[in-house]
Amino acid sequence: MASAGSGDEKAAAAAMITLISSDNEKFEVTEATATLSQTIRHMIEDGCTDGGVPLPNVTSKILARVIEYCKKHATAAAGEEGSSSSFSDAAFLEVDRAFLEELEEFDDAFLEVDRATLFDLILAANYLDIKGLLNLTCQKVADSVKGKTPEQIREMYNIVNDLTPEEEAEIRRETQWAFE
Amino acid sequence: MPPPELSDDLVGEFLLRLPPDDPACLLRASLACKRWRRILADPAFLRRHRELHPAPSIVGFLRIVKAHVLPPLLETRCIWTHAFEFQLGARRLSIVDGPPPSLCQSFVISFMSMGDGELRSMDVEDEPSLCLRLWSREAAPYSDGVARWTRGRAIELETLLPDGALPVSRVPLAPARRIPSVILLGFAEGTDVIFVGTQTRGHRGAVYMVQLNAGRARKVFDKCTLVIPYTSFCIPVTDVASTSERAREGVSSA
Repeated sequence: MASAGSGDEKAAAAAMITLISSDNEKFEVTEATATLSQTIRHMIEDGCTDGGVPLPNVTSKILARVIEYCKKHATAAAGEEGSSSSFSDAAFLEVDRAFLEELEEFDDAFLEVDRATLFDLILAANYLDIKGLLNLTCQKVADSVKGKTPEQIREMYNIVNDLTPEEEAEIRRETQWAFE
Repeated sequence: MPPPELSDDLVGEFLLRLPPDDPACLLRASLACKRWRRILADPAFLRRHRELHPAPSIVGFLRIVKAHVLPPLLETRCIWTHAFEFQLGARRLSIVDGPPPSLCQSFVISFMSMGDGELRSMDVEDEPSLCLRLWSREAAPYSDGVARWTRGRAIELETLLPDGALPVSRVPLAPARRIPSVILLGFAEGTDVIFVGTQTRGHRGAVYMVQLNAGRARKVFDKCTLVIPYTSFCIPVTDVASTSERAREGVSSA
């Protein structure tokens, strides 16, 4: 890339990548935002992003959300790098903490979606290889399963119970303490 | 709109993040359907689970049912006042004294190693009410380099255990008679979980699993028997999910 190693922030910010959703919508993002995705990072490294990056598995609705997440977290990553030299400065730590709190609030609000969208986000995070987003969305599903009975879990996630009543009874009997 | 289908890997990805300190979650999830059960029982899942949650969590226990291993009630003052400490570096086995007997009300003591050189112990007290007393012995916290036992917090058993768990007597019992009604049965290495049994004459008793940090207790069995906790879990899947047909025909899944 033209800006690599130059230290010219304006040039780095100007490096834009075009992402193309499955329904053919184009999204212009900075390289810093796009490279939160390991998949896209590898494509940039291989120099095959000219003319845009087609993402046939991601709809524009989901891609817009994913980009929203990446923008926020790319800023966070940049902030961390910038403040590392003044690590001992209490004022900077204070700023960092406020920023981390803000980031957490952002993540919480980001996850306020229906289950179908949440699953779509998991699929996109996996396909684009965005570790932070995959972790966040999977944790959200895990939290929703926590404390639920098998019946409630099935209902929440449209799961058909294919265990026979005998099998289910036997498993419950073996691990009775988990169901009280 | 129904959620899109996730691959087994991605279902595993969120099941991995169920709270490791509450294995009941995993067991309940394993009952959702055969697919989830198969994913949870996959050795690759178990391996990743251990990587993600290195601190072990209690996931079950073996119960000794048939043998009458428990000594008769008022004689449970088994004297476990020493622990053995094996120092890996020095390849030395040494005997560690328990908390000073003069400070302990009972001799029903259980030891657990916290893995960082700290040893914890516990006994049952009855002053002013029935409680578990924690003791800790750090490797060398004092300037003279000698490790000593420190009396830690107490956990009120009346609050911890559900109503009716402890035997009630119309005549107030002396501490010496009340303490043996609570038996420390075991603990799992590296966790904060202990097993407590209750037992008294004319009272059926039970086994409780106690999470010390959370201050929670859950009854796991009626009747007080010895338990051996284990920290690696296993969802027995082969006989149910994948070979259920054969199993019903009487073919052993082993």
